[in-house]
Amino acid sequence: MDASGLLFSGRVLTVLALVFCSAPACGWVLPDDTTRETLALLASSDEESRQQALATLAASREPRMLPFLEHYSQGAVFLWNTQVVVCTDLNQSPAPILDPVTLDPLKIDGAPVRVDVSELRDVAPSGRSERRAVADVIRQLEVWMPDLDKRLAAIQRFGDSRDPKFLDSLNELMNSDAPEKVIRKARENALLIRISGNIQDQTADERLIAINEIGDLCVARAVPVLNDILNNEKESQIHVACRGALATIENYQKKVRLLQNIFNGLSLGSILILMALGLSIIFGQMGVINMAHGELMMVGAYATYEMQLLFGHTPETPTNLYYIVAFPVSFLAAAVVGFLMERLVVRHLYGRPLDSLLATWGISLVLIQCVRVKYGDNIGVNSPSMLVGSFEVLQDLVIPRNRAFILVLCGFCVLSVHALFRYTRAGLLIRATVQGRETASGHGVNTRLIDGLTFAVGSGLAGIAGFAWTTVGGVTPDMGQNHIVDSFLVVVTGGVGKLAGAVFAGLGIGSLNKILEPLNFGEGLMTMGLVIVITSWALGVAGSFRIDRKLGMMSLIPGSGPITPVFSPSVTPGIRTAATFYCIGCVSIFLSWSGGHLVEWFGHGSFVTAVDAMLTEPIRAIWAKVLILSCVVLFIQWRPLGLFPPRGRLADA
Amino acid sequence: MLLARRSSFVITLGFLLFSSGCGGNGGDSSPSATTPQEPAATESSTAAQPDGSDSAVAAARVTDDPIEAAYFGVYVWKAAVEKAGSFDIDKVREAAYGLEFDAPGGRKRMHDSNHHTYKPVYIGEILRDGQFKIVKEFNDGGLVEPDAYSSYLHPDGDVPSPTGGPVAGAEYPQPDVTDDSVKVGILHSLSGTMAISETSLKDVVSFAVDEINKSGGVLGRQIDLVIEDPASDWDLFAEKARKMITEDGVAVIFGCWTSVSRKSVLPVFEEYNHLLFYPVQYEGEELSLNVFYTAAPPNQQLVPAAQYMLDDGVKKFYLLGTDYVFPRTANKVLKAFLLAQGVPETNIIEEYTPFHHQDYQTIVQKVKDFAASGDACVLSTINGDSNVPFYKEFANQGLTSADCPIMAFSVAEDELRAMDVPPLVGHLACWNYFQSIASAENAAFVEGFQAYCQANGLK
Repeated sequence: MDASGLLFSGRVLTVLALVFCSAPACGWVLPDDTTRETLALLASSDEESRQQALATLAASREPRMLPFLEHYSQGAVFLWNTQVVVCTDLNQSPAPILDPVTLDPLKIDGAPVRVDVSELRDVAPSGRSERRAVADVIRQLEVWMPDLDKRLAAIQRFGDSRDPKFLDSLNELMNSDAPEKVIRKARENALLIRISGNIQDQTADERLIAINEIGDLCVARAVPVLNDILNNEKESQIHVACRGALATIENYQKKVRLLQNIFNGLSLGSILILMALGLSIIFGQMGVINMAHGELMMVGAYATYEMQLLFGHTPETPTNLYYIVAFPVSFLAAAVVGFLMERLVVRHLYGRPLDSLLATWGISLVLIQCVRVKYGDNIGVNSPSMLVGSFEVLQDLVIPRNRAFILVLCGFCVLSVHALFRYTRAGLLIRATVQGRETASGHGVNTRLIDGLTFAVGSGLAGIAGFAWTTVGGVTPDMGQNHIVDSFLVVVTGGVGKLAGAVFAGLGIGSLNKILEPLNFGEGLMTMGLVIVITSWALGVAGSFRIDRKLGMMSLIPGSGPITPVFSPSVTPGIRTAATFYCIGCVSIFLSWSGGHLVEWFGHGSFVTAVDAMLTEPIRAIWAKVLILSCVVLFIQWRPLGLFPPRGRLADA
Repeated sequence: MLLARRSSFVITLGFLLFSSGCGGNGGDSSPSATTPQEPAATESSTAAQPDGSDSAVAAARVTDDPIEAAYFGVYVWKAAVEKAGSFDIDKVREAAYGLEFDAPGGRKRMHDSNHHTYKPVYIGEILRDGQFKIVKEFNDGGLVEPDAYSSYLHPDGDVPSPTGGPVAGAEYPQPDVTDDSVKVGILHSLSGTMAISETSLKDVVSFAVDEINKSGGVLGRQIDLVIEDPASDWDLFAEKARKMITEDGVAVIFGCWTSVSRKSVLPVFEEYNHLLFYPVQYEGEELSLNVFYTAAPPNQQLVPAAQYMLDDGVKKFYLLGTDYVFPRTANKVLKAFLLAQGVPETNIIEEYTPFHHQDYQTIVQKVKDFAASGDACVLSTINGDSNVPFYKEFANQGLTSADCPIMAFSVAEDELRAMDVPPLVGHLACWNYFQSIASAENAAFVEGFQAYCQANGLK
């Protein structure tokens, strides 16, 4: 830190100390004119006065300064004549300008002022250091505001900075009557600053206590700091304490990371299922290889985009209703396109899967090009504000909102489809038509209409997948092409024509992918090996362990007599499936957790040390996919336990 | 039958809803019953208004670095042809050396020998409206001289000699020039993974050609465009280039974005001794007499950007890219530079994802662990449609530019159009041009391009 920086932080400390001695625990409201005077300093070309203004704002605890500072850091604050104003809409000219304190439209003689954009002079913070200073001030205000999430985030930033100037603020928070969560967070971050060694007159004992405490709190963010200390302090009590603290923290983090990986897997799986659900009806039930499935998804995504335009949703003016309306609209839009496709083209090609493959591929190109002509290549769907961000369910376990939403949506869709097929008259007619067209027709079922309807439902589900996808990824005319292979992967692995199969395959592939990705090759290969061993064991290829195929591996477990009926195929194949995947999952999870140790155990042989370098190379995204696909290829070769046999028209043909 | 009636009702309803949904920006101007009082959403008849109030569709077209480089590339070629007084490839090449010209972003100059361009280098921070605020300019007291071969990969200065060029005695296909027309090729992907970026280059080259034709053409000849769509298929690039040169008789080709596509067409251009103008920043390590590189090699983009992050106090670098030649080589240069600046190897992570990669959960978590110490940044060479899911995941997991800034080498104004920008404010990019450069020439360029796109229905 240079001299002026030291001076600056010194001044801030004094100001803070003065303020905190007398401050109440909630926001203050200062006289507007005083505040405006302070703000005028921000437009000064002198760096020191700008810093001074920021320091005054930081100490003010004035809630109305928060929106102003947000505008300031995002470049929406300007100097107009000699007045600091806020202008959020530069696209309009003349643009409306707002009062910096109240954020009401600025009025002269009762009429709102509009000024030409050229009259406004930019007063945004310049460079990252000043931007950081502004962010610091925002946080110093935020820790006293009622919004819990913002409060916590702000406190976290204090700790990240490891700057002792925030310590007073944190101490005061810890002794205030704030919610328990805030107090815990404040404590955690105060400790982070204390262990960092940035405090000048700190005794070794104080630091030792802080290190022990932070270990007990299991703070992941302390790991790099502790490691640094470990490297710097070789032979001292602090060194020992650091070791202990690190061990405790890493133990906790392993568990959290495991949960996080499981969630990631579920999330990826739910997206895969959602995309494959419609295809499992169209491809599975009707036997049409629908290459335009991805494009139906795209139609759903663009229907969502249209709703966003219709409701005028932007990040600045969120209209979350648009997203709720988009749900049925994306379904219907894709369903209508699907229905037309069936009526005009696919209907004439039943029983000719290869012809329908080509025809639907042609349709997909037509759809892509139509959308490209209408919308161009580059549009942005802005997520509804309720699906932006994340919640922290456990310390350090973060669940993004959009992914949690898709998980729920996926469950809802699977149950709805199940209910539609199982419990409604329409579902009965669809099943009847699929299983025996002539018989159904003979009983008076309008099979043509039913075919169209089935196709429309499948397409509509693709539309919903597109609708959900807008919160995760980009919307382009050819987005469907990215997903078509994954959709087929899930449907085929899950056994064509089986809804439960698609669900398990989606979850299986998603989970396996996310379990493999963070591992290194040694652990990954071992995981894969175990998956293969389990499946081949289940299949009975293990020679002397040959087992009853019908009962699966359950017949190997002594004393399983009473429960085997549950797993016998005559009851429900779904439960058997679940059992197998459960076992595979358990072992994979166990391995991903203890994998590092396994490599160590095996690592004493000379052969292993030779390949050690290769095995400790991380898998990463590319190789995860390769491993998954090899696993899928193995799986569909054997279909252990007779899992997911293909069904429906295509399998019969 | 009850079912039939019910389903046809559902379908009619679907039609109604869908068509009213499309009414928002189509030709249908009848106000729908569900339309709220939001003027932006109900404005229609877009083509009739020349003033750029295309607000119902995505925001107006933007310009960015590759767009500017593609644009002035056309003018460099025009100036070279006029200086040479001929469309002959070898004469045009000679004439282009050392050519000085006014580009929208300011005055620039072609190098005397190495086929690259002298340019300024800017670092920009993302603003809320999808534009960049220029926070730093590198200009070496003039323009930054381009190095075709990075000095960090060739510390001894031993660089290969240029490839390509004419072979004595060989016969090459000649441009098909008539008394009043000359053909010019555009070779940009209009579909596939790169369409999101390359379509705009096709648009801007068409715009430049349109301007030139309106002002009398080149050497008195009107330019006829030959546009091919290589569909992000690298082999198809070579095939289409061959077709343009041998069958269509184009005088020059403007094209390519990804380095793998440029590597794919390079043998074709060298075989026929033809001319390519390549408008995208790239990894360097190449110098062909048959290519003019109007965008930045590493020393005009990668190295200054890494230098900026170092100056800013960043100590740990996560090099994240799409798996192909540009990110791989770019990261090699970056790594060599960072190691030379004393950054320990353990503070550098290199990682690649395939094209189209969509699931960034694990990677963002790794970045988060990496950045827990608060002094890390991501140097991103992610290309194409993977950027949207990456930035979305990054923001949704609660990371901001204050925690861990992303310095991107392939994200410009055009890519930001497809993103939720507010959570990305403060992330960085390094380019030789930003739309926000304040000058009359630039304003005229931006306005002209937007008007051209609007008039021609380009979105």
